[in-house]
Amino acid sequence: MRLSKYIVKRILLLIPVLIGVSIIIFALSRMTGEPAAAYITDKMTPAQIQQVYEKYHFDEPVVNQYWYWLTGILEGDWGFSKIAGVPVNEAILVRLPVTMELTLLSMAIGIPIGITLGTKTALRKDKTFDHVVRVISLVGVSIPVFWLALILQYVFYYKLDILPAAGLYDIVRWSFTPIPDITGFLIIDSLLVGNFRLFGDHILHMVMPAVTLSFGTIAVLIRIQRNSMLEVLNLDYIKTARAKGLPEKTVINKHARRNALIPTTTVVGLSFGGSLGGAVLTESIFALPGLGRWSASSITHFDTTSILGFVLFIALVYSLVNLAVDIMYAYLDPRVKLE
Amino acid sequence: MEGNTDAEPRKAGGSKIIVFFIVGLLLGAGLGAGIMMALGDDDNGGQATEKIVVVATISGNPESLDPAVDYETVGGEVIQNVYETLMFYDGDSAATLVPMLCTEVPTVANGLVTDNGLTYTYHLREGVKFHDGTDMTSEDVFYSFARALRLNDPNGPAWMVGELLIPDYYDYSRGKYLSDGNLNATSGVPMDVIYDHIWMKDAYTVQFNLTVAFPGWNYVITFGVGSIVSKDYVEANGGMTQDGYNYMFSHMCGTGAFSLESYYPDTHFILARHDGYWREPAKLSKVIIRQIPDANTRLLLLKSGEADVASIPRTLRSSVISDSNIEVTEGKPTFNIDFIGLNQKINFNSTAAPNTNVPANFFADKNVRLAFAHAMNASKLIATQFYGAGIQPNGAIPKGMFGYNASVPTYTYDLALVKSYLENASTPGNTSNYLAEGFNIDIFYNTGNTVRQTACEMFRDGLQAANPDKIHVTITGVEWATYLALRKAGSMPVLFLGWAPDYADPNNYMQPFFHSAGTYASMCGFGNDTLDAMIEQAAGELNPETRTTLYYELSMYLYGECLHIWTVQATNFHCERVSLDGYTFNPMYSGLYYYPMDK
Repeated sequence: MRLSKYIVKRILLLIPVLIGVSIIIFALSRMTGEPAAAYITDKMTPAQIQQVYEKYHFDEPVVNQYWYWLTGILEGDWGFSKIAGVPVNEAILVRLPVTMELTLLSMAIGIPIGITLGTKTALRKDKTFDHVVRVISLVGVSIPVFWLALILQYVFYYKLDILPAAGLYDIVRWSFTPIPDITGFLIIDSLLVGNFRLFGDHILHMVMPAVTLSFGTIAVLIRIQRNSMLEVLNLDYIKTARAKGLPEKTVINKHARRNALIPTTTVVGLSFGGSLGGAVLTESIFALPGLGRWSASSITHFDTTSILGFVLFIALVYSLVNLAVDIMYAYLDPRVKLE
Repeated sequence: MEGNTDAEPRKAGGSKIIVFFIVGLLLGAGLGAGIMMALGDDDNGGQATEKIVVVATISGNPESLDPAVDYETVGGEVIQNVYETLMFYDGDSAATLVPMLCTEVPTVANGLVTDNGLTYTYHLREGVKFHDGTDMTSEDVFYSFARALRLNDPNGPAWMVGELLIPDYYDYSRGKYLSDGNLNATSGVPMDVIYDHIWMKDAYTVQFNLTVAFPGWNYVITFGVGSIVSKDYVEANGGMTQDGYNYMFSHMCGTGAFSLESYYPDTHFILARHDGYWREPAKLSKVIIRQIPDANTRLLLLKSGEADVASIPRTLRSSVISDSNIEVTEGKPTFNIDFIGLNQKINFNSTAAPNTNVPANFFADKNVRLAFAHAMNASKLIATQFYGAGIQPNGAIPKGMFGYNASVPTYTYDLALVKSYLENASTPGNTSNYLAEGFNIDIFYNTGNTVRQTACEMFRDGLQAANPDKIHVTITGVEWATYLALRKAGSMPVLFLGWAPDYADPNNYMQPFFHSAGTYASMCGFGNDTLDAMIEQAAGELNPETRTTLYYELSMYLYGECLHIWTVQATNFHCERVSLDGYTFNPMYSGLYYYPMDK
């Protein structure tokens, strides 16, 4: 099957997947709580509470509520985010660039380190280096993000004063200069307007959050890549390559590591999707105005409309990332057919 | 060497490229950025010569920055510093008002309150400029109030003005927009009614004609809804249309000491000094209010000096109190109080309260209410749940507010009294009493709210100790949504509630809690004509001394009736760098008031 045909087919398959997801998340949102809770305060009179129910159709059957929500989604009206104070789709679009930047930076740190250490531990199996890295990766998987973030802040911000603690940039410094907003990605926008100092300041602010977020990815990738490499290194074609007298560098880099990367690719894809939706603590601790922080706020304030929009968006992103991973699979392993 | 074809297998693997990549990344990100920052020191916009205060506050976006609509504290703080009202609080006093945009606070004595308290006249200050450079006149004052009443947002603060100023106010709907974006003339409070009650007597005199005498009126219009907006600015940006309404959600033009320079949701506000301010301009050139969700991050920002003020929870008190660079102000009473409502018309059903065997009017018996009041160990609740930072209120009027009287007693934790009152409480048919017969009751709290959970446990411990064999209190934690549903259905015997004031007048507490038309009186199923008359008399009394006496009598009457149980009046906890001066705590402020501050 041709690649373009395959992509179209997969995108069409997304429709039933997303409808299924929408039904599940909507049903869950109505089973786990009262959606009106976000709009009701202690001071409201019974009449005002009733008005809330009528305004948002919370007094109608769940099927009707789902229909209102779904038709709204299809018409581009994802509802109003009480937490953000703007429509849900606008809230997502405004916050997506920050989360994307954070995710991409954390991946840029996590992927090379994870794959390199995973490969090296496999090549040094049962040696001291292997044991040390495996312990570190175990710690990396287990360590709570909030604790790691606080330690990093304490050491690199408070004690050493070499990295900023929070925010996208130094607000005091840039309070005299307009902040560009062209694409929403500050890394790109600062370069587009030629403001290299803002670019540098922004990168500095993203270092600690990106390192924090990458820690889990690094730990997982080390373990996956190590196991995968060990498996590949024991296969006959590697022995054949060595017997043929190929340089070890060629054997490892060209024959072993490339094949060992196939299962790792899946994990990278899932980590990417997970980071997009799961940077809740990182964004909160480092005060980054991204999707994770918004979703966490929505959950704690029972803002069901925002939660529904967020989950649906993340489901869509996950599906697209999976599609990208499948296409990459075909590139990495010619035996895989696009069927 | 890595990459050497003669190397051992373990040393191969393309390490050079990867090491180069990582080093490049970190150097590029860290050192590169640092160098660029260093190169940028000459382009700091003059910040070194400016006085900038950074406030690290908790996360939260305003519902709106429009004073006609906003009814919460995040937007309230910005509104308080960008807009001004006709009067404002005098320093730390919530009882004394000083003139701001008017020249004199109306009183009966100075002749500006006339017609038996129904007419309030304000002479406006001349030469006051809005941030857009236009002059403030009575047209702006009229427009600001009229706009709030035309919009008449039911979730906003317009009701405060409307219920005193407009006859049959609650018959009017919210302002609704037509498909062309214009405000429907038949919705909201009509203009002809507004014209009857707000008069522009000349360019600098405005008169309000109230429908009911209420000496707290000056306090009502000192709330954010009384902020004066620039008519020219609003009209230039859509006026009363839907576009104008949306525009004012995030744009501001007041007369305050600061103007809104920028606002980034989830991130920060920047307020800039208004150099054309009618008083001496503020000493601070900018105020940056940053949203920092994590308390530990806020603590580090404050300790490092990057933030001048930070919202620090009391749990981190030891970290700030020991720092010589940080000054802590604490223990001053806020006007926020928590209380427990006792439902006199419980709408039981077996699902909501499966263990309960008391009648629906269980709490209609004063003896039962008093037994519950004396079973509550408020001191312990304050010590364990508020870290000692609270006061047990002696009634609805909080300490520090006009009408508060320290001689009104509080309910003490006393098991002997619990027994005594239960013994005096007859069971249905007067066959026995609740001490001898006992009772079973379900009490609910919303999961995660440890204050309410602890209060439930105190009720249980205090009541069950009176007769352990026959009194059973079942405590159930339910999700907030379920809790709301139970409350909506009137199913909860005991309701945990909190109240923050809208304006600094005791009627803002008495009316909702005790008047039969008040929110909480109806929620707790009681109505009392005698009480209603007392509340209305005290609310409308123009003589301050007589009014004080009336509120004392009312408080003593309510102490005897024990309609609600008052658990805690919270106290403040404020942390700032010692380099900052001018902080004033006033329980009626929305957050901080920056004009007097300096660093």
